[in-house]
Amino acid sequence: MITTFREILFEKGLKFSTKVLARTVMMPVDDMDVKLRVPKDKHIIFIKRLRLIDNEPVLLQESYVPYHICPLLLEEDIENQLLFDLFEKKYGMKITRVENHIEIAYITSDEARIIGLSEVPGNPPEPIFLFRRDIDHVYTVN
Amino acid sequence: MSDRKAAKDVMIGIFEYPHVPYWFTVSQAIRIVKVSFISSKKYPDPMAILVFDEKYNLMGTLTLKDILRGLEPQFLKPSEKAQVAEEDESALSLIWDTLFDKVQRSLQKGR
Repeated sequence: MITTFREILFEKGLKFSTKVLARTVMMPVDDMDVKLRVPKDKHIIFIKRLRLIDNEPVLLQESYVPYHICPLLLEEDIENQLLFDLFEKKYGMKITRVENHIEIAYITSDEARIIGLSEVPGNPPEPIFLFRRDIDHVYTVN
Repeated sequence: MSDRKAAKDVMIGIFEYPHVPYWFTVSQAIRIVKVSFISSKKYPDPMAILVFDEKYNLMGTLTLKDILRGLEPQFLKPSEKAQVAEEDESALSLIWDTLFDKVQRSLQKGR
């Protein structure tokens, strides 16, 4: 059972919205090919979304999906639909494993600008929680 | 017969080319050139990377020559201080202009 950010907030009765900041295609960089288990010359869909509660930014989410898994993801409504729902209900993929990694990192100036945090000169960058979620899937026959 | 062929029948698909968003650095682009063309031995003509914006709109292309120009703008210009006659300067710039075409042709022959 996978609980999503949206579901947790829905249970708490909070007003939740999403803003898509980027949805484009790129090649894997650094060790992305290893993490996604794709060859280095395969295309990847990159999605960057800002999650807001009562119009306050709370979460900056980046998703990397191998293009060959779900090319139509470039055209889907991802502001109002969950990626998990799209994968499972529309594209016949069964999520078989989810691995969550949580660490503390420092916010970059770009991220601070998007979230709306003002940098104070001389002060260290704000610490943030960094969540990484790795997902495995299989295809199901409908 | 060939009159009936549409552009899509003879085109090279965009996924034959590597894609990068515009915020990638030149050094990231160089690594992508190495992986997508040199290591994988694919040499599309033109040998270019496609550059997209955050909404997946095509913004432009990036060739090896553009990367060289980005790294060192003087590489592809004839030197003003060179102690050579004017006609020799233009010959030098021609060499630079055709250098990558020759490399590409020799790579294609080796396939």
